[in-house]
Amino acid sequence: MHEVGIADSIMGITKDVARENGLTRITNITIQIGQFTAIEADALDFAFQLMTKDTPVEGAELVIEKTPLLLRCKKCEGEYSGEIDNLSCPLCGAEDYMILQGREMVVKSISGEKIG
Amino acid sequence: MGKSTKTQTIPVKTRILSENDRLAAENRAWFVKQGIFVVNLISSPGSGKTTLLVDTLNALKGKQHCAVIEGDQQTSLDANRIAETGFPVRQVNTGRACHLDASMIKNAVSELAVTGLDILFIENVGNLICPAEFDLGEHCKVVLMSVTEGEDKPLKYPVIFHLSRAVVMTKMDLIPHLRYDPLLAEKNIRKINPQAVILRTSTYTSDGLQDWLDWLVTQKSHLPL
Repeated sequence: MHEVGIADSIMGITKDVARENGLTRITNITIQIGQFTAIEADALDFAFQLMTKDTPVEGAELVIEKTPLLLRCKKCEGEYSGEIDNLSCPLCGAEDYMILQGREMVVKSISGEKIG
Repeated sequence: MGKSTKTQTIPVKTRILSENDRLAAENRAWFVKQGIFVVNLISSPGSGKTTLLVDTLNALKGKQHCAVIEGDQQTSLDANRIAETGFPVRQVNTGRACHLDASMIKNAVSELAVTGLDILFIENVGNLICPAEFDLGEHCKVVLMSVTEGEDKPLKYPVIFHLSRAVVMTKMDLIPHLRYDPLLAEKNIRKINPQAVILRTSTYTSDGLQDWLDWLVTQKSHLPL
């Protein structure tokens, strides 16, 4: 379950952001996970909740925004939503494409309480 | 008067694996500087990574200076098999982790004799999911699929097949005993990764081994120095 490693990285980023911005309690972490990644959202949320126990991040909501897969065909230059198990162009059938979106694994924003 | 608190939202936009990526970039830069071609071998458990590696190392003896980093959750069984080839090997036990990461590679490399090395093989933990997202600083990923696993693995685990430069089909000698269609397997790989080099191999008969060795050496020759 590599989601533990992913959750650990989110915790690291959160701690840095909290320290740099004087946040004393974290209430929300919004992340973006692409459709074409090897990340299972439920497993990640489970790992995150376990990991945050007894930390200033405990109780924070992990909002996972899933970004759909979007590709561009290099032959006909059409853009299309690929199927995860078939990335070929549905417009012209070409198997030559670039992924425009769907590989994201990003911490988008962090919300927390600050004194003053 | 008590201190009041206010809620603030900080835009971040940081890659979740940015720290791993930073270490991987350091590894890669160092490998390039040293002229070491690094291959990250990934497959399900039991697909034949270690057996292919042992045969590869024996074939490269006297031609390429190689070393191996072996990733397993437990035991040094694979490292012992590699050590018998005479090439340096470092076992990394990942414990609860189901993949190698860039910091593990950095540490393992510091403990390996790498002077004058041509090729470093990293045998990842047997798993088609977890290793996919963790860049180690390698020059390419190679995924193995044995014929006993069925033709559908590229469709079930598309990310790792998409990210790999080559797909090595292993245990091809078993085909007469199986309802396995290698052409269907190749078609499935193409749906996910049209550029992948597909190599059919058998360590039992040695068929395809030379193609694999030639591919490795060609890839090494393309390494920017």
